[in-house]
Amino acid sequence: MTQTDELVAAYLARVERAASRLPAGRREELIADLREHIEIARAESEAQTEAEVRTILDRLGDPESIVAAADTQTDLPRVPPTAPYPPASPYPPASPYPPAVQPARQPKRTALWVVLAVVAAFVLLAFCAGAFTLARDSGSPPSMVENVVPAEPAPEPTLTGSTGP
Amino acid sequence: MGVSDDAALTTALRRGTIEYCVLALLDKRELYGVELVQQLSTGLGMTTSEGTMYPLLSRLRRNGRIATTWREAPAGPPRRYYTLTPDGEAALTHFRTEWVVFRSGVDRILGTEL
Repeated sequence: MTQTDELVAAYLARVERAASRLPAGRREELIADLREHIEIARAESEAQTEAEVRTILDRLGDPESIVAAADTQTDLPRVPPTAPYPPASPYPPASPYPPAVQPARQPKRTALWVVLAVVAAFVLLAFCAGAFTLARDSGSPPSMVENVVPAEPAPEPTLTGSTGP
Repeated sequence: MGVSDDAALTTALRRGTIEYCVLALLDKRELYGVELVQQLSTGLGMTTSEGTMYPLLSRLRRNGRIATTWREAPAGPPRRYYTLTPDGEAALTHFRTEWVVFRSGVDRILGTEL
């Protein structure tokens, strides 16, 4: 082990100590990522001198602040841009929650449904009014259609009459 | 304003935005760790905390916004390239819209409009 290798090993050992509070998988991944970074940065710059390796490690930064960054990178419940509402299913059917928890969310949900119902009623009303106005404004075409439709079955008897005998 | 306050301010400003800088860099082309981290640190003035970006990359991969693939290099060890996933691309598009709205709101209030 050369002196520069020792420098790298000592740095990674400091990270490992600082990262002892992280879950094992997260800690191992972090150390593997940093080791890979150092290995590639060294290969690229052909950093063989102690000073060059020190520069790589200095740029990586203080082990404690790297682990602090890992602390903040927990998987927060993110709201994906495509799904503004949480799926509705978990609440009504099986309720594993104590009843005290539910009322907190319930009013919001009810309010949402009320708003939806009101909007739906308005849409329906607007549609009916529109249809009514249309029917009244163009009174003749509908009646024409009515005349045509009953007229259609009429040819049938003559048709069956001619083919029958 | 002290140095530590200054650092705290910069950290706070970066917190919500840096991951989208990662996505935007990978939207141009795939990059391996060292390249990606160096481009970010140079672009955002973080040349002494490159290591702090690996936990971020790790989370983005767990969340499916980026993926990695190994590729042989002409010289030296193989490189692990980071690529943008369709999910990451959607997140980036969404953030770009949000960012413009947010930025202009802040600019109007601060009086820093161009």
